[in-house]
Amino acid sequence: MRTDGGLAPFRADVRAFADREIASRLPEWEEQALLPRDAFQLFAGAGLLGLHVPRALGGTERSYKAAAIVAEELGRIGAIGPCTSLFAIAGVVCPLLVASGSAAQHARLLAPIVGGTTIASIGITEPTGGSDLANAIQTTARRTGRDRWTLDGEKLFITNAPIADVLLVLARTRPGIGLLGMTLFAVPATAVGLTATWLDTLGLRSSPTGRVRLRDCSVPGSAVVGRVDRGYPPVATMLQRERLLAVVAGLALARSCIDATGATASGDAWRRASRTHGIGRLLAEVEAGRAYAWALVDEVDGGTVDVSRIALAKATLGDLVRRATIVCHRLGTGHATMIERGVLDARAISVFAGSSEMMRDVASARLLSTVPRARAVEGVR
Amino acid sequence: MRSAQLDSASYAGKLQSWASERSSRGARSAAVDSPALLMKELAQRELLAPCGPQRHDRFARTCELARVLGRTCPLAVATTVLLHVSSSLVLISRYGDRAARERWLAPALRGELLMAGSAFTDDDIELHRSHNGLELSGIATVGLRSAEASWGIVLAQDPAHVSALMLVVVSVAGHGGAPGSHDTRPGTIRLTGRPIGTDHLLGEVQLADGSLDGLIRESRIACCEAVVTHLEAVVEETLAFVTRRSLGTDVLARKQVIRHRLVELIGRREIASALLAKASCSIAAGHSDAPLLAAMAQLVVCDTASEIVDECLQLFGGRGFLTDNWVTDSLRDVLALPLVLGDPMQLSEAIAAELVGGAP
Repeated sequence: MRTDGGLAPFRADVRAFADREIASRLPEWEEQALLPRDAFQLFAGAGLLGLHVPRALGGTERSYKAAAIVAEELGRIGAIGPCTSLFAIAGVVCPLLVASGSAAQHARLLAPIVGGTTIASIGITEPTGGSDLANAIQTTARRTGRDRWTLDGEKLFITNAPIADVLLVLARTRPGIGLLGMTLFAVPATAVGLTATWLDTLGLRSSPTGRVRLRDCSVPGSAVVGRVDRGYPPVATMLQRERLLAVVAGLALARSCIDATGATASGDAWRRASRTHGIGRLLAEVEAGRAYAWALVDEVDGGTVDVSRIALAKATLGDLVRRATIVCHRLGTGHATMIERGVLDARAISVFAGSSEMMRDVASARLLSTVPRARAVEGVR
Repeated sequence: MRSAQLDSASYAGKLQSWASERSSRGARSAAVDSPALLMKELAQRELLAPCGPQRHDRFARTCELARVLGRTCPLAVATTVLLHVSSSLVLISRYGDRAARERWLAPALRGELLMAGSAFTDDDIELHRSHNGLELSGIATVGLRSAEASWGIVLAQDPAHVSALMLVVVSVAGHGGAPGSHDTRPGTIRLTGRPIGTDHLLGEVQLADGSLDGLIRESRIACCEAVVTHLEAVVEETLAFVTRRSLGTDVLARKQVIRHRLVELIGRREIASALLAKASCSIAAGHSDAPLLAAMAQLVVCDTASEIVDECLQLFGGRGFLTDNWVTDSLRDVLALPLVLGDPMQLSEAIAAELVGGAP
């Protein structure tokens, strides 16, 4: 059952921050298709970059539920782009560095990232496949010389890559053993052999998204984050958390689009529109989705990460967000810019961090884990 | 407090033991189960009175009962019993005098009397008073498994008192489908020209106080609980079927299109269940958003039920067209759900109206 617990004041602060600092700047960022470095300073000032970083390391040490509140409040104002860029750092990079990084990495990387002076990025997805990490990761890292690694490969759809100062890159260090045999590297953007270029995307215009090429990119052994060959498990865990936050933000966006549609409607016209487009039904579905997503947030907050149910939520609710924004756009009663942006951003929610189809595969894998492979003999259907 | 907890644990224990027994009997088939039978069983096992109108925790208990009924009974049987317990009996208790309670409530709590699912959506029933007593005009709807019901409660408008509605007990014997059948189609009763004794007038409900709305809401949400757990059983049955049914070189469940569809249905059910939990908590806590959340839950559960049962039957292939499959009964039952949970179009419009701050 959803509650903010003792986080009501936190939500109020985040809401005020989003309304005051982000909402007014968002149209310009979207128009120019960028997220200026200043934005990260704003996030840092509000303590959002270090949400999951211990106070001793300069963070604000908040719960997962707090992160969900931030995602929801940014989604509410339609800031899915900035939300994506923020959580690539606060939700993935920082927790990975905290959990797996060395004390030296904490000192060198974490403090400036949390302070908003260093922009970070996480490179997982590759051109050959999305979130199917076991098969898709082809970027390699091989030991070259004394305590050095050389990375080769390509990463695609990487949030913050074009403006990042440092990139965490997942690379295969022992080919042929699936999910094991991958290692995480912290690669400076200035490293020789690394090039990051912009991608022109349909939505998430205010979230810099790019392609990263690694050609004989040499890094020192101190770039390894965590244990060699054991980079996958922590990344996979973060990915689940990121998926759920994307859903929470998306549902808040959908609800805002519905509210905005209702706010400009009146009388008979509204009644006709609501009947034709089933807006009441849509609102009920979105609220049902929010209830489900927050039930999962509570679970994750309590330490349970159910991969299957999160995948289920990502698939079903991501598609719902897409449908909701399109219906609102069709009604065309106002707030055209916000809703139009919502339609475009919503497409990303059902694609990034695992497409809906991929998510259904993940969810059904557990569902059918007990189904025998042998052919059944029960006659013709 | 401690004794209340023990009491609650004991009720849950009795309920679970009864549920296990029913499951082992395979009582989910509409052909072997009926509301009257169920009422007797519940009364014998002292599972009925704790959900009765005198209990302060009636809503929570009824929801508990609903979840068990939903899993173990045909849906129409479960909802008929729930409407009887959570709506009709509460109305008699709340509005009836001592004679009315002795006549209808006492035998009902002993499992000897079943009230038909009351149709509060009929808005054209009028009450006229004459020197002979009372006379009603209009047509009432009797829904679901009401063949064994002898009485029902209707809401009638007294033209002399427009600010209130009158609760009247009417005989429904013979109007709820053929006795012994498991017909869930709504029956109708032509009330015009049937004189009714004044002792059938339970009382009047002031339209402004909202108490009747609250009662109907609780009753419908309890039915939603039964529906959602019933859907869980439907999906499990379907999953069991596709994991043993072959198609080509493998079982159906290994086909991607089947797996994805099943996962989608499971997702839809879980999402409806989450909203229902939120609405139930809001009702139990008396929060101001309870009416809106309840309307949303009713709509989502109603839509989800018809989608899941329809799609699951589709996955059964030809087996889904045979009446020896209890899931086929479920399809017939979910078609009647708008009678119980409210008209989806009206619910949808009421929810949409909330956005612009007014009634539709």
